Amino acid sequence: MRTVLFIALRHLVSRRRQTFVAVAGMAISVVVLVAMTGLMMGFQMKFFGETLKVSPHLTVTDEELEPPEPVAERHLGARSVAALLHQRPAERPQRIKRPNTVVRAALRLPGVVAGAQQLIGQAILAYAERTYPVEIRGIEPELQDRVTPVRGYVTAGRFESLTTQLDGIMLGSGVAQKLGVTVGDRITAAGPRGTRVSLKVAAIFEAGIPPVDKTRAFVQLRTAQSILSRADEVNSIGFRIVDTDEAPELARVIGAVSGYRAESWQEQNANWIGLFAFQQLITRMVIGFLLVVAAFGILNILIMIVLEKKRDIAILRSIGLTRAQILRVFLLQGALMGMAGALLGCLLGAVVVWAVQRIPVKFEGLVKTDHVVMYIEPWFYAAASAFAVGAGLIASILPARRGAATEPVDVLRGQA
Amino acid sequence: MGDGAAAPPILEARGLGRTLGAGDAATRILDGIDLTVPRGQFVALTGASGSGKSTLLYLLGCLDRPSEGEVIVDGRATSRLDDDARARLRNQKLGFVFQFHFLLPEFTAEENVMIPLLQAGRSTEEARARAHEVLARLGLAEKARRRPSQLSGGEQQRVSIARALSNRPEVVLADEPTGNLDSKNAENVFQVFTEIAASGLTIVMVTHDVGLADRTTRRVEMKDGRIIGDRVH
Repeated sequence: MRTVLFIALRHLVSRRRQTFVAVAGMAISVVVLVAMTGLMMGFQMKFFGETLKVSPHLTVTDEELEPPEPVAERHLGARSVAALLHQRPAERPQRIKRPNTVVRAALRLPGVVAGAQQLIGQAILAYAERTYPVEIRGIEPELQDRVTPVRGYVTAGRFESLTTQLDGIMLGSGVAQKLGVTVGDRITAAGPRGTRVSLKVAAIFEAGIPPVDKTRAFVQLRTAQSILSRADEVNSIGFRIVDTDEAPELARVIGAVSGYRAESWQEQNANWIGLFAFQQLITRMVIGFLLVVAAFGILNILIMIVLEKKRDIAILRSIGLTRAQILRVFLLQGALMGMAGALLGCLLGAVVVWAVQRIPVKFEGLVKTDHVVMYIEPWFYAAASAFAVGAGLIASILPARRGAATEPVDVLRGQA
Repeated sequence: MGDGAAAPPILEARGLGRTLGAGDAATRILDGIDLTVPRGQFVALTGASGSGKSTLLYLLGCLDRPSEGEVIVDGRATSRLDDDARARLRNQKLGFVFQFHFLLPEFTAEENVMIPLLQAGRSTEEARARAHEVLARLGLAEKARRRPSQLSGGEQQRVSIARALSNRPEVVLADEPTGNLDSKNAENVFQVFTEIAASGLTIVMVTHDVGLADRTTRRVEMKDGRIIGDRVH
């Protein structure tokens, strides 16, 4: 192995410029792999992290799994000459019956740590001459804070005021801005059936997710039931669990127990998860192509070396190197170029990640941030390095086999 | 064709034949070669171009496989040895010198000489010391750190002789080692071979130069792939 390493290293060093170009190509691929993965993961972690802070891990909805048979159909029966072709939807909105029982039953399941009932509906908020439509959420503040800890996102006023004031309302920062209100202002909430309730702005929160901050308002459950004209009704129960990965399975169990459709956070964010998966696929394809291009750089230089070194290969064989050793000389060169590319790429990648994280970019889309969010773990570097060395090795297989197949006599006779 | 030398042979060719190509394109390069080379002999293989000298040398050096017949190196039949065993045999028993020095251009003279030693499993220090010893013996101690491109033609050929000798082979096989040198350098290189032979090493040298061939201990003349003359001086 020592002889092989000695020869392989010398081949690479004697072609510094070509070697550097091949190594640089591989290093760029590693940098892109690390940086793109960090960016993608950073954005996803930020999005899902923030989403899970303001959204329950799983939610029991008001959709019954086995809706009752329409009354008309129940009375018509199979032997009737009349048939029910189309039923007009019921005017009465759906609700969850016996919500306390559902919460108690779910809390007995292992891994479920908190549950809170909600009544969610649409309302129009009005302040002075300004009106703004919001999604109003009636909550039990203390219980809700255990499911979605919004208390930490309060930027003005006090979360506790929502607990003590029946007419208190906590607005998303975007809603407050649209209405032009601040803590202490009185606003009016109008429900879909025309109920108007005067409310006092108790707190303003900012979750960092514009779609939430610009549309959501929290009031006490009873207040929401008044605004929405749905006394004693609940149409959503949120749960917090220990392991977020177990949400789909727990949702299935809670759904079966409650008789209502339960959605995991993964199901509720399926569009985003699908989009991120597609984005990852595209990014991986781009990185894959970059690696292939870098590998071609190595392949190119090694083919050149093999062609140029046929005579040297013949000499090495004459002094006792085996075919396997010749093969290893070139495989090692590919692996060494991959390793050098990985090392250089990891160093540059660390610098790029450090620098990019410090770029002050104000972004307000799915999430709100004032800098580029990156999420880096050591295994990104390890994986990128493994890919680089693997690509270098794979690229060297063809030239190495060609070199090993060189017949010394053909070269010495001048026939190769 | 062997001449009944007293010493036990280091190299033997028995019924050696070599055909290149197949079918109508087949060309018979060697035919029915029997040759015994005793230890310590300095053998010159002579003949016109295409007579099969170099082919015989490559077969004797286990660089090529015969179409028929057997090559025996130091009592060991080689035709059934696999590639790795033949490579080990070349490293341990044989040293090669070619017409064009064929030094590895990226390595210094010293490193070129060290490679067979490293391949034989010697430590770097041992290999370096031995390389210096051989280069000094050939008058190249001062130029050990030079690359082949920084040496003259004669010096390059002496480095390649040093490389062939470095691992203390039983036989040195040389393919027209003076063919690419001017007369002065050719004479110097031949002197080196004469000295090596005098020290008891076996040499088989292919040469066109009849004058040099006559100064060896045995001259084997070839024509059309056959031995037509074998004379011990």
